[in-house]
Amino acid sequence: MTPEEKLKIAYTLLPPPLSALPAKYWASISLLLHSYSVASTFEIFVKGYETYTNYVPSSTEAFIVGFLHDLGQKLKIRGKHSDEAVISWAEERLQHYGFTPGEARIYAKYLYTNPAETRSDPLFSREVWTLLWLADRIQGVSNPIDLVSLLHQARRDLSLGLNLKLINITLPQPFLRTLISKMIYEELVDYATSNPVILLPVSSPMGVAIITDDPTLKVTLSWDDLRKGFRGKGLLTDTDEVKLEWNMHCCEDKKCAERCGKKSKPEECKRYGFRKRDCEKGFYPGQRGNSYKIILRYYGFNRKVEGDIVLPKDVGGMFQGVELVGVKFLAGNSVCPICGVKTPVGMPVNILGFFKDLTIQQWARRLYPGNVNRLMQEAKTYAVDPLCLGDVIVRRTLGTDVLLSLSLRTLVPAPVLEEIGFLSWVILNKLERGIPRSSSVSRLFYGEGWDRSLGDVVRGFSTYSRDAFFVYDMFSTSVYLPYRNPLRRHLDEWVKDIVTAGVLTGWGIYPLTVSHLAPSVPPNTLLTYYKGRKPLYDMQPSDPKLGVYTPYVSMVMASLAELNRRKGEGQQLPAFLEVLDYPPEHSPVLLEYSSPSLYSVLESLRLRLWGEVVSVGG
Amino acid sequence: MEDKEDPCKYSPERGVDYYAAGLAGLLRVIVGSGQRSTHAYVKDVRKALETLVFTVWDKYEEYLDVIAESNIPDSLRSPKARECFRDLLVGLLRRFRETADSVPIGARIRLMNMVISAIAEMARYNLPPTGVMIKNYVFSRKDESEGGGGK
Repeated sequence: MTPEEKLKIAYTLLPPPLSALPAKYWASISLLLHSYSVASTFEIFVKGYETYTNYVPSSTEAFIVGFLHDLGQKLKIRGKHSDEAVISWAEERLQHYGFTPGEARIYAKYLYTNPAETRSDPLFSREVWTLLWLADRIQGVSNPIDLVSLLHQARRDLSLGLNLKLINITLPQPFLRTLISKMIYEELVDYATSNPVILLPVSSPMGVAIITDDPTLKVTLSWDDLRKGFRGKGLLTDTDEVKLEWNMHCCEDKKCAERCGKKSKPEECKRYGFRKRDCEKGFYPGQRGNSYKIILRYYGFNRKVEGDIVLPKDVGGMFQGVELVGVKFLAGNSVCPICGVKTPVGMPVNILGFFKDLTIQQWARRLYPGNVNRLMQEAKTYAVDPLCLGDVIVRRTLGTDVLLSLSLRTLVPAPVLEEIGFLSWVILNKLERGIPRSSSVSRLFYGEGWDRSLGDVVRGFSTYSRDAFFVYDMFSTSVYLPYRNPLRRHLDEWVKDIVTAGVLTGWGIYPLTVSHLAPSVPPNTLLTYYKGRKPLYDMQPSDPKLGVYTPYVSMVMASLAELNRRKGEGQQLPAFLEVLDYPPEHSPVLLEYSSPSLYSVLESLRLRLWGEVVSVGG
Repeated sequence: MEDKEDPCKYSPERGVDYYAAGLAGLLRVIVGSGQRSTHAYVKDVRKALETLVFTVWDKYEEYLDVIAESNIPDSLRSPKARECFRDLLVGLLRRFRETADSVPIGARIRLMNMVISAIAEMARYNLPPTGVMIKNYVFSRKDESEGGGGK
């Protein structure tokens, strides 16, 4: 199934803000993400299992049964539901999607039979249901090592040689890791396409576990792949490569270097961003000076400089289970001020400014603590290593100052991570660049015209396939999206950020971080915000007592757009940002205040799932 | 069990939002055509909440009925509507007292203002399903046509 079809089924059954309902008590993951992950995993397994038997469900069947497996237990608003009401809701939604009443009834049965646990149902064999059990249990473990025992059990029941290959990249450069992650993922996809094997890379915060029936699987990474960048056209822009090449030649030409090295530089040298210090202070085994040449050697694509790729020796151990092709590891004496690694190749710290003026927030150290004063003095022994430089280059391709990140603590199949990243990008695109309008926000929640909105978002997958830009790191289960630059007013930033986070959490996409940096530890709260903390969104959806309010909280956050509009129209409102100051248990009444229309949507859903019959007589 | 089935009576399962929506449903019939900013039709609810928050917060138990009884809008004439209004108001005050006890006094006052504003807004523009249900429960179709407001 295409991601479009899968998302359409998923959001037809669990429209926002029902998508935000929590699925687990030990980690914050939405019911939508959990169900979507299990359904996708089951679908992939079943497709691979077709090689062994013909009696497997179709892709659609597998996805729907996988998606429904937990809904009977967890589709609860404020911790309450009625079984009959949930069945009738699912049947109605499945019919709405296009299934016949008979088909809908058959699927809805799986809401409560839960073959993911019983592993028995007359429709398919125990082996098939074992695959669903495995798909569900993958989301139940907290680290890839635990998968070993799970696979051991599955292997016995399936009489199938399922193997687990663990790979991890523990480089402290989060953005460079996304590029490596993409290259490795593409290699795996190519391998799975050209060979009929079961192959599922499962992303976790502690690396990737590849589940496969191919014991010979090898994962390699060539440094030349990294040069290609995210779109295959080079990591550096063409303009940058031209500038770097000019500067490199200028460094080598004594006259030019002298001319451009003066205090009052000629216009040409300023245009190319030439700096004498960069010419003199770089170092590479057997060579000194010319940082520009080093950059082109490591990251040049159209104008690359031939030569060995040398990386710090300590970094060698950070590629686990991945064979790195075309790279030598050597010990070094200089310390990189960003990652703290001793490096044999280095460049002066200010070379980073060639690519991006880093704000103080982005100057966060990645590894060892150190004295910033010494760092700023550019003490002799400090030099930026090529990996940290690569990290800055990748960070720059994201464009905006502030990023929006999604970091999960649970294990998620890598294809799902990619699809959810894309979905988040499409939703961000549906909201305005400035402060989102309340009409655009309410359209993104279930209600009148919901089918059209869902259709719009789903179509976005093909419309935007070329423009979409987001990166994801399957070695830490994170997605980073370019989000925004500073806005004119501080308040505008608050409104935009909280509304956007509210819409995304309503769609089941959380825990989120809005910040200049990539979060180093996956958070458990709905939103981690660089500007401050408010009890409303600082809640943990995994909290057994408060998690039940997650749909309300997401809607209150999104409803700031409506409050903003009403305030703009001159209405006297007793509070604006203060709605965020209350604990989540107040969220229903806060929503009544901030957006009665969104409250009505959620209230209708609540009555429906509680099975309450609305009395109309006296 | 009978109390639980009565949509107006207090039940711990119902949140502040339920009673607020219910009161909005009853107030919908007396929303006037005056200045919207005055929100005159919620003045009784405001008075009741203010009495609770400013005067009897620590000894609320004995006063809830009295506060509710003495703050039913005059323009609500039907005995059934008055009784339902009183019950809903007791529910609102009780749940508000229970849930807002943990927040500081300043936040409690702001929350009170938000609840009042929410009731006014819902009663006038956007009645949620609970409000519609209560309104239909109290007013038969014949009574409803006599109401001043409504869509």
